[in-house]
Amino acid sequence: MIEITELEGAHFRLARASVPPGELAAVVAPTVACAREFVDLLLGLIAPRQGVVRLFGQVLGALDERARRALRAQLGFAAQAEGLVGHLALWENILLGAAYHRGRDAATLESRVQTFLGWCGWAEEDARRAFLQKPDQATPFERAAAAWLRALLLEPELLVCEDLFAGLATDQRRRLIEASVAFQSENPRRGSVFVLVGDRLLDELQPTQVHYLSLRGDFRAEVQA
Amino acid sequence: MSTAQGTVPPGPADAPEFVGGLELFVDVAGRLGRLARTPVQVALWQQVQRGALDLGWLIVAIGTFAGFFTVATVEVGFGLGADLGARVLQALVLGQLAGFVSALLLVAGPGTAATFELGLMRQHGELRTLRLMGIDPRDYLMLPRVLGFALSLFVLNFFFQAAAVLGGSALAALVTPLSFTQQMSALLATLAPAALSIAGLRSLVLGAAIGVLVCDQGLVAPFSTGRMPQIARHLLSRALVAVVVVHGGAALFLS
Repeated sequence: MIEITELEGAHFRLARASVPPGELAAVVAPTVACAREFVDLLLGLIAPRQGVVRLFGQVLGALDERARRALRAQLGFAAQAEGLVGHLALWENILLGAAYHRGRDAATLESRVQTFLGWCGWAEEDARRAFLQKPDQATPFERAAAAWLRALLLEPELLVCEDLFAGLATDQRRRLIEASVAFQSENPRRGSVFVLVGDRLLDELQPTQVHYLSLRGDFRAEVQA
Repeated sequence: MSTAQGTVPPGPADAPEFVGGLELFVDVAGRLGRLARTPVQVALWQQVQRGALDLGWLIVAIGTFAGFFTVATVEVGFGLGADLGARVLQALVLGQLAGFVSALLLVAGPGTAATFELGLMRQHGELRTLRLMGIDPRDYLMLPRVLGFALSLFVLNFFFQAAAVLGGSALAALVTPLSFTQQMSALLATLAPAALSIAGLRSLVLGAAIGVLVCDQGLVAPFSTGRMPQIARHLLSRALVAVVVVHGGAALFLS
């Protein structure tokens, strides 16, 4: 699904990474800026200084923006901070991707939403009430769960989460992690990449593989990686 | 987003990928097929609602009084009769004032609001989010706004004209010797369907131009919360130029 070779951005380096289907990978970034830049490079929003990123077998650098956008439409992206559209309510945010790319409406997605809410242990009545809020009125967990639900409703083969757990309580993190694992185990062709800022959540996430981004110029970190 | 290193400065992914001005207009015109997507339709409808329907009662009130004062002044105040009153109403109020007032109302309210909304979305990294979701902001943000402003101005213009004719004549019938039927007959005798069609087309073009200016200011021009007053002034001055150019062009075409 993902193959990265000698990737170098403005903030970090990553020598090599490969995420085949079925893997739950963690990418540990030293700063938020690194995490953000890594996601931009991984999904082809910006070009790397050096290196190659293959997404679903295609070299991103060889594609035009339209083709890269089509690739991005195949995966699910979730971020808590700045991950939602501010003028839409959470429920509208949740439906946005599936409605835009798959032409689905709320009625056809209803049962799937209920399944996902059950997985992450969120009482449906509470969730429906929270969904009426705008992102700036919601709690970090509500924002993170809305972004996560939006990504999952696309039924993606690859889920990319950027710093999704920032500011969440342990129980809230656990619920989202367990739900992500449940989603991935539905289909063996699915894979996930969780981009974390710092490595303190690795024990909770229990990824099948871990990659460390090293700050450019930080040779000690590169050696450790 | 904050860390030990502080706030993350906007990266290249937040940088506008848009062109401005006429290129933006052409770009939007090439995207009309995206209207088939439900979220784009919803965004378009919301823009029309904010741009036209929310201002409906205000524009109807202004149109009614504009029509009434014109009819009362020309027909009764100056004693020039119903025929001349109808011509003045058609040439000035329906032909020019409706477009000017509607455009100014649209720019000052929904136009400024939409500019700030787009600018804040850019500042908050929401354009990046849309792009990471595989949604082109030009389809989801620009197309509904340009088209929405075109339709909004068309609707506002129509409301103003209808209110000026019907409401203005009805009010005038209450306080002047002229009956509603007399005024309508005089107006229908002079009303040129071609002029009304041109006025409608002009509204669509001018509304689209206002939409382009809004997107240009919100998505392309430098934006920060501290620059908001300056941005609002800039939008208003450019929109005024567009109003004069489009109205002048339409007047030349009609002559």
